[in-house]
Amino acid sequence: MNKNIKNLFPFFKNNPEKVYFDSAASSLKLSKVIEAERNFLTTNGANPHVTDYEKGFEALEKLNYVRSLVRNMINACKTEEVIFTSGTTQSINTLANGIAEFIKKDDEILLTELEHSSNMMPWINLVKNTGAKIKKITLADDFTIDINDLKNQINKNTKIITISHVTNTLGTKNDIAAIVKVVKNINSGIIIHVDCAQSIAHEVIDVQNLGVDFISFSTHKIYSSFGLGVLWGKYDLLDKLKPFLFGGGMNLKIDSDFNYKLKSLPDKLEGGTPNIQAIYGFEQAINFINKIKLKNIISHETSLKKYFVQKVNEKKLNCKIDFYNLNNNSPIILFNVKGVNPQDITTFLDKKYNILARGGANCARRINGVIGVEIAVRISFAIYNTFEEVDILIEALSNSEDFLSTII
Amino acid sequence: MINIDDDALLRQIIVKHFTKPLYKPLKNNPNSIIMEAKSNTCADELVVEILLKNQSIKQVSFDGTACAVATASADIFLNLILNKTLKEVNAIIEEYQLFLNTGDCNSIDLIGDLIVFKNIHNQKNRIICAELAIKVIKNLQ
Repeated sequence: MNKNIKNLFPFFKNNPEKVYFDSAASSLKLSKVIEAERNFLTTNGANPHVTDYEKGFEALEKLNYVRSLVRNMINACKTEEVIFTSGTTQSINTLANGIAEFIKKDDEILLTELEHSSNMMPWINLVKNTGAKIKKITLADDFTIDINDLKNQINKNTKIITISHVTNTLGTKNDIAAIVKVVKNINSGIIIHVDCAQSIAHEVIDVQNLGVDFISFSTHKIYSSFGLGVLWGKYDLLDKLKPFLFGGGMNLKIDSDFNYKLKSLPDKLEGGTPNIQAIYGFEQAINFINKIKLKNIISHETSLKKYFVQKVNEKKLNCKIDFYNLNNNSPIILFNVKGVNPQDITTFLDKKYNILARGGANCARRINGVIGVEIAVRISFAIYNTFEEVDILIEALSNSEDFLSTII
Repeated sequence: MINIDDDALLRQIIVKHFTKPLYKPLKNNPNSIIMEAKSNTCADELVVEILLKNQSIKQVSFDGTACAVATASADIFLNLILNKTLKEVNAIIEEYQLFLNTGDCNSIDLIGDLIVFKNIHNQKNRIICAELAIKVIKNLQ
């Protein structure tokens, strides 16, 4: 199956020797995504905000059609609840800035130390501007959110809980539906936002089943382009957000006294010209996921992880490598070769074995508080990875003491 | 003089300066200049301490966490510039940066054991590591 899958990604045609293990940072792009963008840019290229002529209207229709595809993908109630942004970072900034006027001094925002910077910085900025506070959610031994402890952390000041569905370093999957049930039973007014950047390509997301208030994700994590993302919110809550970006496309009129009237959702939260070519591309990525089915993607990625764990045990790699998350089924592996800096290992993997992996903090700056190290090497799998590629990784890690051979 | 074709020896030199650096930790001399060397592209983070007297480097030390290339280059470089004048240090930096970027070296004597980084010019992303501490010392000029 996977040879055929690889053929769908031009990267492998252009780099047949490369093993791409960094899909948690950005997945590779489908040829159909690239073709759709190229086709739009070469046969159309008009602004979807201009409907005076057919080409512009065609772009607008595509924008709204893809919006409806996203609605179906996450099972939202209304298409208008889907806001296109430039990515997860802008999605969360739209939420944090949009909700700021409802946040008061001493209000509390709960998050975990495993959050990506994009789900930490906007909230740090918010509390600095409002006098609210950030509180750390306690994690269980498996690094998931400790739901029993969360109950005790909630009080009358708790306003927002903002957490990852799947964390980008340890790949821990939080039981969002259970968390929502517990939180909403205590206080239904607490806003729950879920960062789905790491789960959108690897988990089924049904916002109604989960019961959350907001989610966010980027399309470059799901076989599509950079510069496009989604903020989804329950209509009534989304409608209360103050726009983060003011400009064209989001206002109905500006009068002679410079008072403005905003459009309704979704336009009022989409100031400026959207990344319309990426929207054309994303349609193809959604079609791909619908055709191949997420359950098959999950099954394949889980098999790769299990195979990797089996090989680690066979080769006794635990003796010289500290692995931090072999106990979960996520398609992410986090580790450090004892006594070696992660960057030296990623260079070794790249130069000697053509393995592309990420090293460092992985944009999660507070992970030290959870696993006791600030930096590590991250391997992440996607649908196009194979068992043979895992074998290459195992061989590379078995020879990791030669890491300087790529420097000299 | 090091045999620059003896790769095993060159690796040993890097490992020695990485695992047992000569100039770690900081001396914390109140008269020293403290400079932070934080990479913008990775998690490498060093602090360099230099004691200057009459435009001459009288004491050196550093601390922090970084890869083998950044750590070893910092330690070797500090060893090289100890008791040298700023003018001499400047000449070493210029020669070393030329060496890092091109692989060419006009004077092996000038860059000393930094010759171990002879292949870095083939890996542009590691030049940042090999000059992490050196770039902040350049600010002394």
